[in-house]
Amino acid sequence: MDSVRSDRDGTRSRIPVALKILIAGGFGAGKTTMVGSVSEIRPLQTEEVLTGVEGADDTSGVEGKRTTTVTMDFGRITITEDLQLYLFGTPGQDRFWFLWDELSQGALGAVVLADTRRLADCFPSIDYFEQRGTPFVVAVNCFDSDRRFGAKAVAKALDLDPDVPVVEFDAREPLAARNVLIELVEYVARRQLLAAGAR
Amino acid sequence: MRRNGLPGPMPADRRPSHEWGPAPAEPRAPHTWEGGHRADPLRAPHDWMDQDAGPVVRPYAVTQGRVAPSGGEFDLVAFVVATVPDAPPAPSLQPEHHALVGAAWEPTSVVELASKLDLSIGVVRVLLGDLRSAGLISLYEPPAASQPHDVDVLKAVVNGLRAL
Repeated sequence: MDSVRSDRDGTRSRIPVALKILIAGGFGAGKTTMVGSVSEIRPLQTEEVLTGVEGADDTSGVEGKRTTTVTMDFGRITITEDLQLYLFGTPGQDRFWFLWDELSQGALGAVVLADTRRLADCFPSIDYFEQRGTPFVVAVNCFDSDRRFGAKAVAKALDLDPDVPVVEFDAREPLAARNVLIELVEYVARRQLLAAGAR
Repeated sequence: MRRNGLPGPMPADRRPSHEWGPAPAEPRAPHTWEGGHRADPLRAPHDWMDQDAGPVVRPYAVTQGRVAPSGGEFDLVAFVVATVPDAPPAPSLQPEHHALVGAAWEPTSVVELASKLDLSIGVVRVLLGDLRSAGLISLYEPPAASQPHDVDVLKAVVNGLRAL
Protein backbone atom coordinates (compact mmCIF):
# COMPACT_ATOMS: atom_id res chain seq x y z
CA MET A 1 0.00 0.00 0.00
CA ASP A 2 1.62 3.21 -1.02
CA SER A 3 0.04 5.19 1.76
CA VAL A 4 2.67 3.75 4.05
CA ARG A 5 5.87 5.38 3.16
CA SER A 6 9.22 3.75 3.59
CA ASP A 7 11.57 6.37 4.89
CA ARG A 8 14.82 7.17 3.33
CA ASP A 9 16.43 7.48 6.72
CA GLY A 10 14.08 5.20 8.60
CA THR A 11 13.77 7.50 11.59
CA ARG A 12 10.49 9.21 10.82
CA SER A 13 7.04 7.85 11.41
CA ARG A 14 5.07 6.17 8.71
CA ILE A 15 2.08 7.85 7.17
CA PRO A 16 -0.94 6.94 9.29
CA VAL A 17 -4.34 6.14 7.87
CA ALA A 18 -6.62 9.05 8.73
CA LEU A 19 -10.34 8.59 9.21
CA LYS A 20 -12.70 11.52 9.41
CA ILE A 21 -15.73 11.73 11.64
CA LEU A 22 -17.99 14.75 11.49
CA ILE A 23 -19.71 16.20 14.52
CA ALA A 24 -22.78 18.08 13.36
CA GLY A 25 -25.82 19.66 14.93
CA GLY A 26 -27.39 23.00 15.53
CA PHE A 27 -25.77 26.01 17.11
CA GLY A 28 -25.02 25.40 20.76
CA ALA A 29 -25.80 21.68 20.62
CA GLY A 30 -22.38 20.80 22.04
CA LYS A 31 -20.21 20.20 18.97
CA THR A 32 -17.21 22.09 20.27
CA THR A 33 -17.59 20.51 23.68
CA MET A 34 -17.71 17.02 22.25
CA VAL A 35 -14.69 17.50 20.00
CA GLY A 36 -12.81 18.92 22.96
CA SER A 37 -13.77 16.20 25.40
CA VAL A 38 -12.47 13.30 23.31
CA SER A 39 -9.57 14.89 21.49
CA GLU A 40 -6.11 13.95 22.71
CA ILE A 41 -4.71 17.21 21.47
CA ARG A 42 -5.87 20.55 22.70
CA PRO A 43 -8.92 21.06 20.53
CA LEU A 44 -7.74 23.19 17.71
CA GLN A 45 -9.68 25.63 15.69
CA THR A 46 -8.78 26.51 12.22
CA GLU A 47 -10.25 29.19 10.10
CA GLU A 48 -11.30 29.14 6.54
CA VAL A 49 -11.34 32.62 5.14
CA LEU A 50 -13.98 33.26 2.59
CA THR A 51 -13.10 35.53 -0.22
CA GLY A 52 -16.57 35.84 -1.66
CA VAL A 53 -19.91 34.40 -0.75
CA GLU A 54 -23.11 35.07 -2.56
CA GLY A 55 -26.00 36.11 -0.42
CA ALA A 56 -23.96 36.46 2.68
CA ASP A 57 -25.07 37.75 6.03
CA ASP A 58 -27.07 40.71 6.90
CA THR A 59 -24.13 42.96 7.51
CA SER A 60 -25.99 46.04 8.64
CA GLY A 61 -23.80 47.76 11.13
CA VAL A 62 -20.64 46.08 9.94
CA GLU A 63 -20.87 46.96 6.27
CA GLY A 64 -17.16 47.50 6.04
CA LYS A 65 -16.16 44.08 7.30
CA ARG A 66 -14.29 42.59 4.41
CA THR A 67 -13.69 39.03 5.40
CA THR A 68 -15.92 36.36 6.76
CA THR A 69 -14.21 33.69 8.70
CA VAL A 70 -15.59 30.35 9.55
CA THR A 71 -14.08 28.45 12.39
CA MET A 72 -13.90 24.72 12.31
CA ASP A 73 -13.17 22.74 15.42
CA PHE A 74 -11.08 19.72 15.01
CA GLY A 75 -9.59 17.13 17.26
CA ARG A 76 -7.55 13.99 16.88
CA ILE A 77 -7.53 10.56 18.46
CA THR A 78 -4.59 8.29 17.80
CA ILE A 79 -5.84 4.72 17.70
CA THR A 80 -2.52 3.18 16.80
CA GLU A 81 0.63 4.57 15.31
CA ASP A 82 -0.85 3.84 11.89
CA LEU A 83 -4.43 4.85 12.50
CA GLN A 84 -5.74 8.27 13.45
CA LEU A 85 -9.25 9.53 13.88
CA TYR A 86 -9.98 13.15 13.02
CA LEU A 87 -13.05 14.80 14.42
CA PHE A 88 -14.43 17.85 12.69
CA GLY A 89 -17.10 20.04 14.18
CA THR A 90 -19.10 21.23 11.21
CA PRO A 91 -19.70 24.94 10.89
CA GLY A 92 -23.18 25.69 12.13
CA GLN A 93 -24.44 28.25 9.66
CA ASP A 94 -26.32 27.13 6.58
CA ARG A 95 -24.26 29.20 4.22
CA PHE A 96 -21.22 27.06 4.88
CA TRP A 97 -22.73 23.97 3.33
CA PHE A 98 -20.00 23.95 0.71
CA LEU A 99 -17.52 23.22 3.48
CA TRP A 100 -19.62 20.27 4.55
CA ASP A 101 -19.15 18.75 1.12
CA GLU A 102 -15.45 18.87 1.54
CA LEU A 103 -15.56 17.61 5.11
CA SER A 104 -17.83 14.70 4.33
CA GLN A 105 -15.77 13.62 1.34
CA GLY A 106 -14.49 10.21 2.35
CA ALA A 107 -15.73 10.61 5.92
CA LEU A 108 -16.33 7.49 7.94
CA GLY A 109 -19.56 8.85 9.31
CA ALA A 110 -21.15 11.57 11.36
CA VAL A 111 -22.54 12.22 14.80
CA VAL A 112 -25.56 14.51 14.79
CA LEU A 113 -25.96 16.19 18.14
CA ALA A 114 -29.53 16.83 19.13
CA ASP A 115 -30.61 19.28 21.77
CA THR A 116 -34.12 18.34 22.83
CA ARG A 117 -34.94 21.94 23.62
CA ARG A 118 -34.40 22.79 19.95
CA LEU A 119 -34.77 19.54 18.13
CA ALA A 120 -35.53 21.18 14.80
CA ASP A 121 -31.99 22.58 14.73
CA CYS A 122 -30.60 19.21 13.74
CA PHE A 123 -33.03 18.60 10.85
CA PRO A 124 -30.73 20.12 8.21
CA SER A 125 -27.80 17.95 9.34
CA ILE A 126 -29.91 14.81 9.20
CA ASP A 127 -31.28 15.68 5.77
CA TYR A 128 -27.79 16.36 4.53
CA PHE A 129 -26.31 13.05 5.67
CA GLU A 130 -29.35 11.08 4.51
CA GLN A 131 -29.06 12.59 1.06
CA ARG A 132 -25.35 11.97 0.81
CA GLY A 133 -25.66 8.45 2.19
CA THR A 134 -23.20 9.26 4.96
CA PRO A 135 -23.83 6.95 7.92
CA PHE A 136 -24.72 8.84 11.07
CA VAL A 137 -25.87 8.34 14.62
CA VAL A 138 -27.95 10.81 16.58
CA ALA A 139 -26.59 11.68 19.99
CA VAL A 140 -28.99 13.41 22.32
CA ASN A 141 -26.94 15.75 24.42
CA CYS A 142 -28.37 15.64 27.92
CA PHE A 143 -27.61 18.86 29.65
CA ASP A 144 -28.16 18.97 33.39
CA SER A 145 -31.67 18.18 34.52
CA ASP A 146 -33.38 18.74 31.23
CA ARG A 147 -33.49 15.20 30.03
CA ARG A 148 -36.97 15.69 28.78
CA PHE A 149 -37.20 13.08 26.08
CA GLY A 150 -35.74 9.65 25.70
CA ALA A 151 -33.88 8.27 22.71
CA LYS A 152 -37.01 6.59 21.37
CA ALA A 153 -39.06 9.75 21.46
CA VAL A 154 -36.29 11.62 19.67
CA ALA A 155 -35.99 8.92 16.99
CA LYS A 156 -39.72 9.17 16.42
CA ALA A 157 -39.74 12.94 16.35
CA LEU A 158 -36.91 12.99 13.83
CA ASP A 159 -38.56 10.34 11.68
CA LEU A 160 -35.32 8.38 11.43
CA ASP A 161 -34.79 5.10 9.65
CA PRO A 162 -35.30 2.40 12.28
CA ASP A 163 -31.69 1.25 12.06
CA VAL A 164 -30.17 4.65 12.80
CA PRO A 165 -28.83 4.50 16.36
CA VAL A 166 -29.98 7.17 18.78
CA VAL A 167 -28.04 7.48 22.02
CA GLU A 168 -28.23 9.76 24.99
CA PHE A 169 -25.03 11.20 26.32
CA ASP A 170 -23.34 14.14 27.96
CA ALA A 171 -20.96 15.88 25.58
CA ARG A 172 -18.79 17.00 28.46
CA GLU A 173 -17.99 13.45 29.55
CA PRO A 174 -15.04 12.04 27.60
CA LEU A 175 -16.23 8.46 28.18
CA ALA A 176 -19.75 9.24 27.05
CA ALA A 177 -18.49 10.98 23.94
CA ARG A 178 -16.17 8.07 23.25
CA ASN A 179 -19.09 5.66 23.52
CA VAL A 180 -20.98 7.66 20.91
CA LEU A 181 -18.03 7.28 18.56
CA ILE A 182 -17.94 3.53 19.21
CA GLU A 183 -21.65 3.38 18.46
CA LEU A 184 -21.05 5.15 15.16
CA VAL A 185 -18.13 2.99 14.05
CA GLU A 186 -20.00 -0.21 14.95
CA TYR A 187 -22.97 1.04 12.98
CA VAL A 188 -20.75 1.77 9.97
CA ALA A 189 -19.25 -1.72 10.25
CA ARG A 190 -22.75 -3.29 10.39
CA ARG A 191 -23.77 -1.39 7.27
CA GLN A 192 -20.58 -2.41 5.54
CA LEU A 193 -21.18 -6.08 6.32
CA LEU A 194 -24.79 -5.83 5.17
CA ALA A 195 -23.73 -4.20 1.93
CA ALA A 196 -21.09 -6.88 1.40
CA GLY A 197 -23.69 -9.59 2.08
CA ALA A 198 -26.13 -8.08 -0.37
CA ARG A 199 -23.64 -8.16 -3.19
CA MET B 1 -22.10 45.30 -8.19
CA ARG B 2 -20.53 44.36 -4.93
CA ARG B 3 -22.68 42.82 -2.29
CA ASN B 4 -22.32 43.36 1.39
CA GLY B 5 -19.88 40.95 2.88
CA LEU B 6 -17.68 40.74 -0.17
CA PRO B 7 -14.16 41.91 0.18
CA GLY B 8 -13.53 45.43 -0.87
CA PRO B 9 -12.39 48.68 0.54
CA MET B 10 -14.12 49.95 3.58
CA PRO B 11 -15.88 53.26 3.27
CA ALA B 12 -13.42 55.84 4.46
CA ASP B 13 -15.55 56.99 7.33
CA ARG B 14 -15.67 53.51 8.80
CA ARG B 15 -12.00 52.80 8.61
CA PRO B 16 -10.36 52.33 11.96
CA SER B 17 -8.13 55.35 12.13
CA HIS B 18 -5.14 53.40 13.48
CA GLU B 19 -4.86 51.73 10.10
CA TRP B 20 -3.83 55.01 8.63
CA GLY B 21 -1.46 56.35 11.21
CA PRO B 22 -2.07 59.65 12.93
CA ALA B 23 -5.29 61.25 11.91
CA PRO B 24 -5.07 64.44 9.91
CA ALA B 25 -4.84 67.55 11.95
CA GLU B 26 -8.22 68.48 13.33
CA PRO B 27 -9.07 71.28 15.66
CA ARG B 28 -8.39 70.08 19.13
CA ALA B 29 -10.47 72.80 20.66
CA PRO B 30 -13.77 71.69 22.15
CA HIS B 31 -16.21 71.00 19.41
CA THR B 32 -19.14 73.21 18.87
CA TRP B 33 -20.95 70.96 16.42
CA GLU B 34 -24.58 70.85 17.02
CA GLY B 35 -25.76 67.93 19.05
CA GLY B 36 -22.20 66.85 19.55
CA HIS B 37 -22.82 63.57 17.77
CA ARG B 38 -19.78 63.97 15.53
CA ALA B 39 -17.10 62.90 17.88
CA ASP B 40 -13.49 63.93 17.74
CA PRO B 41 -11.92 61.51 15.27
CA LEU B 42 -8.87 61.28 17.52
CA ARG B 43 -10.98 60.06 20.35
CA ALA B 44 -13.71 58.28 18.48
CA PRO B 45 -14.17 54.73 19.68
CA HIS B 46 -13.01 52.32 17.03
CA ASP B 47 -15.59 50.11 15.46
CA TRP B 48 -13.08 47.32 15.41
CA MET B 49 -10.33 46.70 17.84
CA ASP B 50 -7.64 44.04 17.76
CA GLN B 51 -8.91 40.86 16.13
CA ASP B 52 -12.26 42.39 15.27
CA ALA B 53 -10.49 44.69 12.88
CA GLY B 54 -9.29 41.70 10.91
CA PRO B 55 -5.73 40.57 10.33
CA VAL B 56 -3.15 43.28 9.76
CA VAL B 57 -2.06 41.47 6.62
CA ARG B 58 -4.91 40.17 4.52
CA PRO B 59 -4.80 36.36 4.61
CA TYR B 60 -4.32 35.82 0.92
CA ALA B 61 -1.56 38.42 0.70
CA VAL B 62 0.78 35.59 1.66
CA THR B 63 -0.23 33.72 -1.47
CA GLN B 64 -0.19 36.83 -3.68
CA GLY B 65 -3.88 36.45 -4.08
CA ARG B 66 -3.84 32.90 -5.36
CA VAL B 67 -6.64 30.80 -3.94
CA ALA B 68 -6.00 27.39 -5.50
CA PRO B 69 -2.89 25.27 -4.99
CA SER B 70 -0.79 24.54 -8.04
CA GLY B 71 -0.93 20.90 -9.03
CA GLY B 72 -4.47 20.24 -7.81
CA GLU B 73 -6.46 20.07 -4.59
CA PHE B 74 -5.88 17.67 -1.74
CA ASP B 75 -7.80 16.50 1.29
CA LEU B 76 -7.91 18.24 4.67
CA VAL B 77 -6.46 15.12 6.24
CA ALA B 78 -3.87 14.46 3.57
CA PHE B 79 -0.50 14.00 5.23
CA VAL B 80 2.38 16.30 4.50
CA VAL B 81 5.97 15.15 4.85
CA ALA B 82 8.92 17.44 4.29
CA THR B 83 11.58 16.00 2.01
CA VAL B 84 14.23 18.22 3.56
CA PRO B 85 14.70 19.35 7.18
CA ASP B 86 14.79 23.01 6.14
CA ALA B 87 13.70 24.68 2.96
CA PRO B 88 16.63 26.37 1.24
CA PRO B 89 16.57 30.15 1.16
CA ALA B 90 14.90 31.16 -2.06
CA PRO B 91 13.32 34.40 -3.14
CA SER B 92 10.12 32.60 -4.07
CA LEU B 93 9.65 31.22 -0.56
CA GLN B 94 7.93 33.21 2.16
CA PRO B 95 8.55 32.73 5.87
CA GLU B 96 5.29 30.76 5.94
CA HIS B 97 6.67 28.29 3.41
CA HIS B 98 9.68 27.73 5.63
CA ALA B 99 7.49 27.32 8.68
CA LEU B 100 5.43 24.66 6.90
CA VAL B 101 8.48 22.68 5.88
CA GLY B 102 9.82 22.90 9.41
CA ALA B 103 6.51 21.73 10.91
CA ALA B 104 6.13 18.77 8.56
CA TRP B 105 9.25 16.75 9.29
CA GLU B 106 7.03 14.17 10.95
CA PRO B 107 3.96 13.34 8.84
CA THR B 108 1.39 16.00 9.70
CA SER B 109 -2.08 16.51 8.30
CA VAL B 110 -2.99 19.62 6.33
CA VAL B 111 -5.58 20.71 8.87
CA GLU B 112 -3.14 20.36 11.73
CA LEU B 113 -0.52 22.44 9.95
CA ALA B 114 -3.09 25.18 9.41
CA SER B 115 -3.96 25.12 13.06
CA LYS B 116 -0.36 25.01 14.30
CA LEU B 117 0.71 27.89 12.10
CA ASP B 118 -2.49 29.83 12.65
CA LEU B 119 -3.10 30.21 8.95
CA SER B 120 -6.35 29.63 7.15
CA ILE B 121 -6.76 26.31 5.42
CA GLY B 122 -7.09 27.88 2.01
CA VAL B 123 -3.81 29.72 2.43
CA VAL B 124 -2.01 26.65 3.72
CA ARG B 125 -3.20 24.68 0.72
CA VAL B 126 -1.81 27.21 -1.74
CA LEU B 127 1.52 27.29 0.08
CA LEU B 128 1.69 23.50 0.21
CA GLY B 129 0.99 23.40 -3.52
CA ASP B 130 4.04 25.63 -4.03
CA LEU B 131 6.19 23.42 -1.83
CA ARG B 132 5.00 20.32 -3.63
CA SER B 133 5.89 21.86 -6.98
CA ALA B 134 9.32 22.72 -5.60
CA GLY B 135 9.79 19.13 -4.42
CA LEU B 136 10.18 20.22 -0.79
CA ILE B 137 7.26 18.20 0.54
CA SER B 138 5.34 15.07 -0.37
CA LEU B 139 1.59 14.85 0.01
CA TYR B 140 -0.21 11.62 0.81
CA GLU B 141 -3.95 11.48 0.29
CA PRO B 142 -5.93 9.42 2.78
CA PRO B 143 -6.82 6.11 1.17
CA ALA B 144 -10.26 6.26 2.73
CA ALA B 145 -11.34 9.05 0.44
CA SER B 146 -11.85 6.75 -2.50
CA GLN B 147 -12.65 3.31 -1.07
CA PRO B 148 -15.26 1.94 1.32
CA HIS B 149 -13.91 1.48 4.77
CA ASP B 150 -12.35 -1.85 5.56
CA VAL B 151 -14.23 -3.72 8.29
CA ASP B 152 -10.93 -4.76 9.85
CA VAL B 153 -9.93 -1.12 10.12
CA LEU B 154 -13.29 -0.33 11.72
CA LYS B 155 -12.79 -3.12 14.26
CA ALA B 156 -9.37 -1.71 15.07
CA VAL B 157 -10.95 1.71 15.60
CA VAL B 158 -13.59 0.31 17.96
CA ASN B 159 -10.96 -1.60 19.94
CA GLY B 160 -8.75 1.43 20.05
CA LEU B 161 -11.61 3.61 21.30
CA ARG B 162 -12.53 1.10 23.97
CA ALA B 163 -8.96 1.12 25.21
CA LEU B 164 -8.95 4.90 25.72
